[in-house]
Amino acid sequence: MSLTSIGDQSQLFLTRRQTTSLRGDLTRLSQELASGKLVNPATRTTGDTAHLIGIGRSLTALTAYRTANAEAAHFTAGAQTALGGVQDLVSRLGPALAALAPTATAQSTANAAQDARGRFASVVGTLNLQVGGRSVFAGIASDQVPLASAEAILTALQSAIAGQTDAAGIATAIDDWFSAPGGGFETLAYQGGPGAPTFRLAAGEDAGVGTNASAPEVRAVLKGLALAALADAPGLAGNLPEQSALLSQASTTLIAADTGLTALRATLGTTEARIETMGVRQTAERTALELAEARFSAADPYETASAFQEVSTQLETLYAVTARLSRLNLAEYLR
Amino acid sequence: MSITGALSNALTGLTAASRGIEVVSSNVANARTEGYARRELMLSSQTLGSQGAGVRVVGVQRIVDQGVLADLRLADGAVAGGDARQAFQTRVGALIGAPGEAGSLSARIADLQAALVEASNGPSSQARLEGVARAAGQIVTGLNTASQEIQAARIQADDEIGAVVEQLNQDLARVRDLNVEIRKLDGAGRDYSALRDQRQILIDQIATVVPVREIPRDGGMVALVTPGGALLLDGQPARIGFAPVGVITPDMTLASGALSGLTVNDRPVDIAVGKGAMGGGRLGALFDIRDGLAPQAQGMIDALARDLYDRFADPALDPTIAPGQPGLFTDGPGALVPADELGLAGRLRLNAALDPSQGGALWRLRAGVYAAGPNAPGDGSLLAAMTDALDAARSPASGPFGGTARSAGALSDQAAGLWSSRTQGIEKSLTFSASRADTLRQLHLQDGVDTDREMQQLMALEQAYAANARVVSTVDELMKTLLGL
Repeated sequence: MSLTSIGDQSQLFLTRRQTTSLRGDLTRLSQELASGKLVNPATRTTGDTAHLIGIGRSLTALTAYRTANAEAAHFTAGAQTALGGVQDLVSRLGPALAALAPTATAQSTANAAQDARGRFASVVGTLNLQVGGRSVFAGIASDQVPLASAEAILTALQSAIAGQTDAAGIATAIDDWFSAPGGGFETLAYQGGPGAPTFRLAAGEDAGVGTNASAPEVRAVLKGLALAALADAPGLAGNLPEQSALLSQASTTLIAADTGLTALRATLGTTEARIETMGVRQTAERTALELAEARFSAADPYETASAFQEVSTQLETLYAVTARLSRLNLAEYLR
Repeated sequence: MSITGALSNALTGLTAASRGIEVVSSNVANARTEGYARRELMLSSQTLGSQGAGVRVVGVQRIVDQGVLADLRLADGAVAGGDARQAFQTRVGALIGAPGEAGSLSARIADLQAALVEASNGPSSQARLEGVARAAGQIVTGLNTASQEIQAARIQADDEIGAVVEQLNQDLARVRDLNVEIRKLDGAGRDYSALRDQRQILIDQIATVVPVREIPRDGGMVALVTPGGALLLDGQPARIGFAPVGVITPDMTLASGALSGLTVNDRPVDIAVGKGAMGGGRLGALFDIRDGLAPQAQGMIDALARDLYDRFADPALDPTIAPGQPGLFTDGPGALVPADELGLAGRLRLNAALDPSQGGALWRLRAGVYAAGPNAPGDGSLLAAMTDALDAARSPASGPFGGTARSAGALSDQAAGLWSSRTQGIEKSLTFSASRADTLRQLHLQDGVDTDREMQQLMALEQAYAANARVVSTVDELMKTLLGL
């Protein structure tokens, strides 16, 4: 440092540099104050931002899973309602037919068959439910209607039992029609695909309806209703003992089918509970991730405002000092 | 003789005072000129024989601290180099992505993940399948753009090296010319301070490009040498040679001979990654960008592209794919040859079989890339498997990531993290160089013109001039008295 003179330019350079630096700070702080986020979060860490970016990625994934969760809940709720409707149609019919069978008359048999036909049509209609444009019980062929129309199925059944004259024969024929692999049910009545729609709720976690209209429980319900609906078949015309035997058979099948339906609905209910738990868990996860992100990249408003105040005061002081210094030279005094 | 002696002494005093005022006026006029060094008048007492005979103006001295100046030049060179590197890092970092940025590669991979989840939950929905195709297309665009930008940065660096080398050659020639002028004036004993100012400015400019040391030679001339040992100017300037290439692709490197290196007097000079005899300033940084930083960035995004390609070109994932065939992503129109990974990021495309605008069909996302016909619309198993494939931890086949198994998103996070920490490192060293340069510049400027001091000098010189003039008029009166007798 020279002892006799200090160049003018050095003072100028110093104030210019300091002004620039303070104004840069001021701009950055005002941006952080307005947006609530750090302008350069990498400076909070050693520069490795992989963790922070990963948090952002997880949040995007959670958003997708939230939508998936809502869809899955809606879909399974629809399936549960449908199965509930079917159970309502079937649960009281079994005992009613059991009570009717011993004291059946031709008229009551015909009424019971008519009623069963009506319920059959209702069950088929309920199972052909669509949620969001997708068939619930058609397996992976969600654009298809799972079950053919009730009339078509009953017509096919009637031709399958043509020539049978006793209840046992009719029951066996109907049983074969429904249960045999490649039999009438699988070729004619069920028009959907295998499997069932699944929803991805989280990485590696799937949930779905888990069943379709070709499940044995559903077949049992349809079989029971068909047995009752065909009690007034031409082959049994006038044969009251055989007709009541058929109705008893129908009621036994329906009571067993009711139990099967309950089990099916219980499984579905477990799935629904799991979907809800998953949703709650993911909401908590989301909150935790947002907190973690905030810790890294959020700008504390109090700290930022204080820093802003400090820097503006400094800048004002610098301006005052610069103004004073500019008037402090010998040439001014020699005027 | 003593009266005439007194007269001549006073006259030399007047000359000295007026020369001094000239110097003061020159200083004050140039108080804010760049490169101007404060002048001081050197006086000594004149002797004639063995007697004193007044004051002699020895000359005008430029007050410059050569040590501070030399350090300042080196620091300025470091700042120029660090600046160029930091600009490149920031430019590429914007493409790879910072936390919270929507267009980053990690965010795009996350979007593909989300689109696959949605599609697997509603596989019959055309809109969701389109969403998957669109998200995959965004990843492809992101990688393509990054690759293009990196090569564009290389081309820019190459062009700039050409311009810089040309400017350097011109500057060295002008310094040589100034040297010659200065020597002539020095021989004639005249004042050449203004030429030295000009030469100082030119050498400052050269120092931002290549760090130089100034070595004084006879007759006021200088020689220029780089700290690395290359002789730039000694009598004659060295001829720096470089041939810019118009277009640069990822496979063109210095080693392959496709890019030009630096020659000094037609002898090649090692400038690998900006170190070596000519490294350390802006020129070195530009070579570092072209041959070091940019290929590293390209390698990193090529490794990311390769990882994505491999995840989907897997027969275990999609049975319709034969071994060696591409899946969701293709290398240009076809399959990737592993040896040809360089530049994959720029060539990556969405498989045409999946893109309706190229004659493909979206149901292939659900049924398999090479499936003959659509499958059941409710079958989301392939889409779910694709989600798993993106999430699966696998070791990347290439790149600077080490062998740790990671998911696709985690790998791209790593890439962003690596790049960001390198950028931080470069920024820190730039900050250090800049503050060092600032400190040195301030020391250097302290030696500059101080108008207060010049005013003080002016007052003293005024007094001296008045006193000498008084002496002259007194002697004049004495002589008149003598002659009037």
